[in-house]
Amino acid sequence: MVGDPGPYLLLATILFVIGAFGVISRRGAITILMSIELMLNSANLALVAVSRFLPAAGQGAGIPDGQVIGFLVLAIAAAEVAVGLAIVIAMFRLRESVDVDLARLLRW
Amino acid sequence: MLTYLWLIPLAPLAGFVLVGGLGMAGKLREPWVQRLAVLASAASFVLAVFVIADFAGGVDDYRALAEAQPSKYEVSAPGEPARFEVTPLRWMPVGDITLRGWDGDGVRQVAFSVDWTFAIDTLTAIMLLVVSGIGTLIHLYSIGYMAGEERQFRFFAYLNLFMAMMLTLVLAGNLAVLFVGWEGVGLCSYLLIGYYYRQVFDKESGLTCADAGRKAFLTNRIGDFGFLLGMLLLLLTFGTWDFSELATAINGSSAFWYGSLLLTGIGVLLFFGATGKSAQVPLYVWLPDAMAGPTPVSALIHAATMVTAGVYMLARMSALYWHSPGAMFVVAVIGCLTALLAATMGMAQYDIKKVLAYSTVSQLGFMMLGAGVGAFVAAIFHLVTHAFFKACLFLGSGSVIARCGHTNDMRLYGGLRRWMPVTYWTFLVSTLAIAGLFPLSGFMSKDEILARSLFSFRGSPVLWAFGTLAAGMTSFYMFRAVYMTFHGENRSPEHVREQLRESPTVMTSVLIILALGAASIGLLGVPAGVSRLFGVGDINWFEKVLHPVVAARGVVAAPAEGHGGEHVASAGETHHAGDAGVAEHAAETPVPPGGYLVEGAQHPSWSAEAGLFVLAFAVFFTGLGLARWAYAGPQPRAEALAPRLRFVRRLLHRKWFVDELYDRLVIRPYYALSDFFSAVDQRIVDGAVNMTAATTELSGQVLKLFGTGVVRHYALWFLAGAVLLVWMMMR
Amino acid sequence: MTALAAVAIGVVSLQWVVLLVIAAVAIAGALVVVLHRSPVVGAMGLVTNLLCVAGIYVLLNAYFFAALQVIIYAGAVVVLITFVIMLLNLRPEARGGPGLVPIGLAVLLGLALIVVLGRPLLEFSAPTAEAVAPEFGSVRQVGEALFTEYFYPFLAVSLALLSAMVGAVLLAKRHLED
Repeated sequence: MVGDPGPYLLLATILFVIGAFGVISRRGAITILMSIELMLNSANLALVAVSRFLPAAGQGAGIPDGQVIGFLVLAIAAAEVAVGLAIVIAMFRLRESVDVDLARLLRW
Repeated sequence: MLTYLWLIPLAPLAGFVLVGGLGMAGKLREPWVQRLAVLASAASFVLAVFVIADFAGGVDDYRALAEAQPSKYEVSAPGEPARFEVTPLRWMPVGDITLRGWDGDGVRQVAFSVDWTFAIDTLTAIMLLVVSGIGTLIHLYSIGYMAGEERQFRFFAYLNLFMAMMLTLVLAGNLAVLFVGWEGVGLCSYLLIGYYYRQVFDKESGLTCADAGRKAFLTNRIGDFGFLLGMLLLLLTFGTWDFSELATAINGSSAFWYGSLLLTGIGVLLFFGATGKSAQVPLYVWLPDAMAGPTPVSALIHAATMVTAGVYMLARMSALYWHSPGAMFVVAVIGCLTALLAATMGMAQYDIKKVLAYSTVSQLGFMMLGAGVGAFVAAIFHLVTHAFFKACLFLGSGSVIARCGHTNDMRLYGGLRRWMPVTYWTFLVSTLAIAGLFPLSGFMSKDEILARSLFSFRGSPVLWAFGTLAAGMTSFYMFRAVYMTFHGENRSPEHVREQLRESPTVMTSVLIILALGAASIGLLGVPAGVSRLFGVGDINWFEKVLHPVVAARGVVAAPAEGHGGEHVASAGETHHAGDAGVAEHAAETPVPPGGYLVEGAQHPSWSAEAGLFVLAFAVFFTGLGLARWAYAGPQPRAEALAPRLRFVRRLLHRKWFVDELYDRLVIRPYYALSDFFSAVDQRIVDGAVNMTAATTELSGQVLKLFGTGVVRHYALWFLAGAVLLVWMMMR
Repeated sequence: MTALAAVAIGVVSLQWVVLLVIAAVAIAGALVVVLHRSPVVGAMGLVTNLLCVAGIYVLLNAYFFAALQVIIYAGAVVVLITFVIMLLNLRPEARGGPGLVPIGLAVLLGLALIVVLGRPLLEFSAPTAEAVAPEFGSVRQVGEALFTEYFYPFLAVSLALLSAMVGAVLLAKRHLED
């Protein structure tokens, strides 16, 4: 019986770090978006894991808040993907590429 | 009519707004500029005449009105000299101010407000007539003088503004309003001196007229600083600026105030302001350079009216000066010194306007001398007579200058009486008047001042001796000017000589009026001593009218003497009243025997009066004779004498090197100080500011290296920050 | 009893085995996403990862959330991403990454984060040892919380979704009109 949130949280951390590494190291906009999904997902995992082990109002353990917040994160992630992909499409139209290193106009 | 007192300065003010505004807008053509300006000035004169006619009938008719509206009108008490005050407008309701109890009444709060109060008494009435009357005449003269000039509206608008300000000054019922006028005339003086602002007026130093205006303005500013300090000290002491209230406060506790160091300080500070405005030593230097302005301006502002404001102010504050022998002594000494010094300078000038300018300074010195020895009436009388003959002299010189190719140099004149008889005769009459020929006006006023400086117990033989010397010099330099200008051979260039002719009627008629005034106005104030010589009773109308206003009040001579102190001057017997030093213990002995505030004069014997009378003639003819000997005739001896007197001539021509002295003592150190502060400002203050900017820029230059524009780098820094935060929380 | 101790003693229950296996697959999927040059392969890695995480949710008794994870993430989002990849006909990413310095820094920072968080997380023991409540993870419980306590955040998120939808349409459409 795994009675502690620790291992789940560690897994969430590892997934988050991998996602962050992806955001930093990759040039393809789609891949970066997917890495962001990884990070959001790891956050969800941490939320649900912790809420599972918190004492409930009545008998036993587990409160619904983690899942509810996770649900909200899910919705935001979906929205983010939608907008992000739209931006990717717009950028692709402009530059025939999804390489984010090409989009560096915001420079001194 | 008296209630419309405040309209008098408003008339020329309206003229200023109309002429200036419409002129600037280009809606007013030349003749209308002149007509409007003259009309505005004449309106104030007519108004003044009506007001004064009403005032002469007594102020009793207005007593009921004053009781009904005490905040708006004020009438002097029945026994007092007639005085009417009107306050059409509140200005600054200050509220309560705290007095430190310097007047012996303890620390207390008094309500204080500054109001637009206009007041009239006989002193103001006389000044009103002089200012608006001569002002109007000079407006008229300007029509001829300015003929053909471009953009005349500027000139006439300033002239009207000057009239408004000068009338405000003489009508002021309190020091604040007086100060408005005081500064206002200073401003107009500045504007009008610099009227030909591009013209170089002094070829030796290359100064422009604008520089001359600036010099006048700045010099006056120095004096005004002292004046303002005096005003504030008065306010802190008495809690009021109202003239009548101040006089009441001082006269009410004469014993306390007599000889007080505080009053002396205030008196000297106020007089310092007067030395600026009235061109006394040490601040007289601006007036000769003020001749850069058009000649009517020199006549009106720098001879007849504005420069006499200091004398008027002294008379207005006579209650204060009577109680401060120290301050009066300073006034007398400065006045005497100025009279003498300026006269010496006037003897060596070739610029006719400068001769007249130094003459003005010298005559103002006489007025100050008169005020300083307690002869306020004589000082004001000299002010009035001087306004006539000096205005006439200036306008005469203006008439000459305009015809002689606009040069001021007397060496280029000569023999002008052939072409300009009216100018010559009026100029001559005024010269005789200023030089002091009996019975012309200058004799009456100057002789009275000199006699009082000898016989008044505040006078001294030394003051009298120097004054008489200055009077002799006056005679000399004025006749020197007459001989160089109107007699001998004409020395003008050929093309100028061909066009020599008399000035237009509008100018000469003004000259005639002024010359008549200069000749006759003296009869209004024949000194008591002189009328006695001729076996006539006291016919000094001026003294009778003016004396109550400026007389010493407060605690006067004991009744046992048979005279109130204020009547001593006109009483016909020798009267000793010198116990001035007992004031220190006044608190213990309220009325010491003999009184201690007596303006008294030791009235001279008949023979002494006769001696003075003869001496005046002697002085006059000595000056005349010397001038004739040196400058008249086909071959003036002055040229022959010149090599032997080179040093003296140079000294006098360069005005005792006073300008150079001021340059070394004041201006250069001031520039050095300014340079120092400029360096401090540029190096340290600006340096600090620039360093801040440089630091900001440097940090920006460093930080911009992080702004690569690559999203990944931003994400990297973001992650680093997140890790750092987590580490800090988990530590 | 901490997790470390449990591993050390060798008390390896079935649940532990399942968890470790699922976690290993999830990490592998994540690594595929960030390391493989082809976006299509990356998308497949993402699906693997998401499904594994859904499995962990099952292990955590959050059945409803596991279902949501599969439907929304593994279903909708990944399908959307794949669709865009197909639409744009993306080639595998060109070689030549951002250089060693940023990558090295990123690795260092990631390891630092794991090290910093690892110990406290593993030592973090549950505040209660009680068994999971029977209603935990049920649709009823989550729905009740969502529509009562979290009503306003729920509304806000729905508005955010709406605006994201509009924004996405506009962004994707604008250049077509030109």
